[in-house]
Amino acid sequence: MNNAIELKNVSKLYSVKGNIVEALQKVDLSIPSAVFASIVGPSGSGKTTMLNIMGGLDRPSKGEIYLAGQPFHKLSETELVAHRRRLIGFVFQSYNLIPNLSAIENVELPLEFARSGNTRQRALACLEMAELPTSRHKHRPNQLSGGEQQRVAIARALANDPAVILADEPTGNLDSKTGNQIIALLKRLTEQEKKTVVIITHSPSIAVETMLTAEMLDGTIDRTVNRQK
Amino acid sequence: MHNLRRGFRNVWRSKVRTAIVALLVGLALSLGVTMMALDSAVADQLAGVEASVGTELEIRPVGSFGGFGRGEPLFMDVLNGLEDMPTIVEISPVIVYQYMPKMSGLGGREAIEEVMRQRMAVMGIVPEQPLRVFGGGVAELTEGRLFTPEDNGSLVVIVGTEYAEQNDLVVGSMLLLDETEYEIIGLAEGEHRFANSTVFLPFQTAQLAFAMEDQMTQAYVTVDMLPNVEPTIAMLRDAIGEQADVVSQAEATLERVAQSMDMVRGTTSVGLWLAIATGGLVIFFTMLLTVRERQKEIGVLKAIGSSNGDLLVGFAWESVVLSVVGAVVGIILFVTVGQFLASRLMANIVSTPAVTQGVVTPGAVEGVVGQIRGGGGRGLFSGAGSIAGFSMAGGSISSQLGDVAVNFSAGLLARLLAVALGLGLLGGLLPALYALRLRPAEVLRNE
Repeated sequence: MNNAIELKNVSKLYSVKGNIVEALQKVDLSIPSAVFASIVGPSGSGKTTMLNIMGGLDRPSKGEIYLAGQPFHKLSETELVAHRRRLIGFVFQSYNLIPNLSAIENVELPLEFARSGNTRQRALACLEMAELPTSRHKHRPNQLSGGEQQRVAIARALANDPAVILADEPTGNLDSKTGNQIIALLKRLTEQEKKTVVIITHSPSIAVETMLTAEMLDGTIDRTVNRQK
Repeated sequence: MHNLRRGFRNVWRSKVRTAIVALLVGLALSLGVTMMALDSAVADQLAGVEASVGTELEIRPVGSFGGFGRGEPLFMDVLNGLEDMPTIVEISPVIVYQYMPKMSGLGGREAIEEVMRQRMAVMGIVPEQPLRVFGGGVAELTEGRLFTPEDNGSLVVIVGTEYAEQNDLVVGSMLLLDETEYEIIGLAEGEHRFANSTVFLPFQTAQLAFAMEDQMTQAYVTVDMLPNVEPTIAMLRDAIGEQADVVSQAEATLERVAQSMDMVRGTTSVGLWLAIATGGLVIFFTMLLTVRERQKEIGVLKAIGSSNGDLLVGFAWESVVLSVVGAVVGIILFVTVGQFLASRLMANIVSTPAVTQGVVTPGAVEGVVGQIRGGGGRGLFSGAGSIAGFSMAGGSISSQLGDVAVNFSAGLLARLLAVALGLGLLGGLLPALYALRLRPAEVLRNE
């Protein structure tokens, strides 16, 4: 099976008030394609740093990252933006929708950045995949519930048909029932759309739903649990 | 398109803030446009003054003024070769003559009254040249026709309306001058009564009538542009030498007016730049605040695929729209309040002693002329030469300045929009560049 994401000996160092903090220490991780994976660990263990590096939002201090076969650690900033746009969809804990745009306009944004044609049709298809009722398509974020906003965010992540979806605590702001619905949706994306989905979660019950779990501690991967059949 | 549309919509995300910013920018730009309008008005007036008085010189007999005072008439050969000077557009000789009728058979008061009624200022004018009036200005034909080159040497005249009325003359009547009858071919009217009492003859006819063959009393020289007046005076003085005086009609007056107007323009220029800077700072700080408020959103936009170019266009357009909205408010403020204030300000400037000093109004011209006409017992025009010369230019300048109008024009609108565009682009540039430097991982981490 091909790896959608591969981290080889990745380290990330920060300088905080003159002190060097090692947020990631020589991390190695492989996540195969079309796998629903999770990253768990206590706060400050490096989960978000690792996710950002996977998604090209941050650069590693050392090591190599391959995403869908592309060497992200070698790409220029412009190349990184183009690859990120094409290969990765992001979902955030607090949804991060653009407040003055409607649900469908939010989904159209990545398509417009990619200069795609027929953005409205593709956005409708993505919202359908994310199971947002049609009656809510023209609502602005503040007119939608948390669950609906997260569905819009997932539809936005799907817009450019990326290989990988990275979700940082996508259920963190949702009640458990809605959270479970969102997890089920992400799981379906893996099963039906063959997307590689990586989520950060604090919830053990969500982690056990995923095929692969990387448990982080103090900037390293303490344990990897593979539940793939 | 989407970046522009989003930029436009972003302006209205906080309507209250946009309204306040638009008002502030509008106030600054209305002040700016007021300054621009004042500057344009002053420039127009200055150009008008320059056009009306600035480029005409006179060649006069030494020590005389228009055929009066000391000095003999000039011979035409004084003008030989002058037309070849590159800065000279035209040379127009004239004959100025004070005609006093000879009264025979009358005596005492009756004779004096008849002389007073029939006396006239005669101007010998080259056909197709303006009907210049001694004392300033030009008379315009009100009836009949002007002189043609064929009239040169013929017994035809154009008569001032007041003189015609006083002596019951109409077009087609005959006018008796030194026992010669002249056919009246037209009536003319000028800016003041003196003009209306002038009789115009074709130049050569005047030479024959007053025994001035090959002579003139003075010549008007038109210089191509104001900056060439001084050098042309010098060249003419070199060429003519002691034979004649070369006089600039309103050089000193014009200079004084120009200095005052330049001072006004300097002030408006400072005001304009202050207004632009204020508007620019308002836009700059608003956009900086906007970018700082939307840091997380910028991070999200970058994460979902926005390029730096997309962001730059979006913020620049938002800044431009904000600035243009401010410009619209500025236009409204200018049209409703600023225009009125600018007109009042301009009126005050025009009436300041610095501008009006040395400028004599048309009423004053008439007063001077009236004094001249009333001074028959001491000799017509005696001692009045220098006053009249000054009045001639002064009246013209004053009437020009009196018409100052501060209006909103298409040109002003274009300049205002250009300023707004510039302000928007410059004011939004640094904040937009700041936005480009934001790293999505850092700004998203702070959520």
